[in-house]
Amino acid sequence: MRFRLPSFRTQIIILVILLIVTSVLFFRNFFIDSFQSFSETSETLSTNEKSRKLYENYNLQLDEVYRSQFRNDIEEIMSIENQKAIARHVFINEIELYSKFILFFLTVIVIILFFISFYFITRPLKRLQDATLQLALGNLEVNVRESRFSPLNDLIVSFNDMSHELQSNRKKLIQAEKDAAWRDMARILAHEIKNPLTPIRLSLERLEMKYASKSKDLDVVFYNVAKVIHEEIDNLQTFASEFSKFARLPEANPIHYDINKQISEICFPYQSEVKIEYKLAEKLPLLFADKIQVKQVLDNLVQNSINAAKEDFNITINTNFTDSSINIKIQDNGHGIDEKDINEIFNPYFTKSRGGTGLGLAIVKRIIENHGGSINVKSQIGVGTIFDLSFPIVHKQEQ
Amino acid sequence: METGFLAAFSKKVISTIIAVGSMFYSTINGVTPSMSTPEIQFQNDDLFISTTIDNCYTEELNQIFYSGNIIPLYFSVELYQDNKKNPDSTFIFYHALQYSPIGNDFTIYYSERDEAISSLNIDQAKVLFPQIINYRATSATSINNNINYYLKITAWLDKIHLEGMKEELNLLFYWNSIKPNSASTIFSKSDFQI
Repeated sequence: MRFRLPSFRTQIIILVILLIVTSVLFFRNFFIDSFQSFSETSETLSTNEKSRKLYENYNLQLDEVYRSQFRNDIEEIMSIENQKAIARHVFINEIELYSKFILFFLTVIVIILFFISFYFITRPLKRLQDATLQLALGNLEVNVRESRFSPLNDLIVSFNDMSHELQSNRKKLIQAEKDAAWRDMARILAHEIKNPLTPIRLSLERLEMKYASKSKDLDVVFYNVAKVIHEEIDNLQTFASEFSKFARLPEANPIHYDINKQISEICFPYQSEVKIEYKLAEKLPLLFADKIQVKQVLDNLVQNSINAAKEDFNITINTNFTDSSINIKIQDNGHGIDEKDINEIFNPYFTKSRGGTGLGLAIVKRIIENHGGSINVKSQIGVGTIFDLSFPIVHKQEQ
Repeated sequence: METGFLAAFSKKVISTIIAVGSMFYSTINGVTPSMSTPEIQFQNDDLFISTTIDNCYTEELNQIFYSGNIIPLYFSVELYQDNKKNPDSTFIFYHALQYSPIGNDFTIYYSERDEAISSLNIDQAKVLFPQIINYRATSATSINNNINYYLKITAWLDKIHLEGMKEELNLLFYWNSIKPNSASTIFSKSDFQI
């Protein structure tokens, strides 16, 4: 079991209790015991014995007349000594008890003062601690209540200023990101729309020329131009469809199902084009995910691999699991991805392939993250690419 | 001036603390004494009583006995009619204990019979000091016919002065400020063997 330090407040309380206990022990040992020891020593220095010896030595040498008077005088001296010893004893008892009263009273006062100062010092600290935690969790709207009498008020004011500054900066950042996203999208849209327009315009110009010159092959040209226009319109439709999918990814409808079986079903049609090897784990737990969206993910990744195919191309699909996750590895020996592009491939509209929309991998990443999973890619030019997918295991009772 | 004010203030505070503390706790560990029921004896027209006090010594009281000071123990014997609150008569006497440091022995003086017993060791002194033996409490001539009476005996320790102490030490604190008392059985004039 890991030892965990108590909280700041508990540490202060323990420290003060230790201080008080130590002070009490010190006070008792140093003052009371020392005083007691002194008094015991002084009592032993009684003159009683000396007086008795004095009486015994001189009593018989005195006349009968003075003996009684001498005895009374000596006894009076001895009695006074004894009374002083008793008075001292009573006094010490009183002092000891009164010291206890005073010590108790002082302890109570110290504890009260401690709790008052503790309240003024640590309560703002606790608020600051909670606020910092909130800040760390991303809640920038957190604001610590100011305590005018607290010595930490300056710190609280600075914290609140910092929080406001962060909040303001985040708003600016979000706005900047939004602007950048809109600019990117406008640029991509313009580009993607402009691309098919050029061949359409050129084809139409060619058709006009043929028509104006009453060309004999007008029919052939017309047919070719129509074909080009159809193709470009198809491209535009594909782009519009992918864009729409990315923009409005439907809400996931997860169920428990066998992912190994789904992988086999999805890859079956591709086996006519490419060699696919399966290394599927036995007793793999059921995946809890939206079956249609996962199909979209696997389709995309397999299709991506096929697009990067070269000679003797093959794909290996591997499944395994840990206590908490189901992992799917899709590995190919294709061309690979350039190292500088690796970090960009999941960004929307990033593509290196001709006719690609650049939305496929962005959709893949978004689907996996929506399921609480993750995707990683490793690639080397000329060697191949590995996509590692990980989905959390959700037991039926947790669901 | 400031020092004077601080001294006075601290004295006031500490006195208050001590006063408040003393309400809950005392420096003296006392005992709770009890007086045994008086035995009454009728001889001719006189009534004699005997009693003693139990559980009346503490370690500190013993030390005070050894001081050489005269330690007085007072008794009051009150004659009550059975149905009245106020006594018909009250007699007060005392026993005085004194230690002789040279003789290392104790002497007890009984004022009720003007008699002293000397050369007692501490154990003998502690037995005899609280004892009342055959004290003539009343006589048949002092009581009326057809009325029931009883005797109430009360004992208490007094304050003594100890050398070196500003104030007198109240020995009754060693009895937790309790004055032990006890009442005799009821008697009447007919009980006297006149």
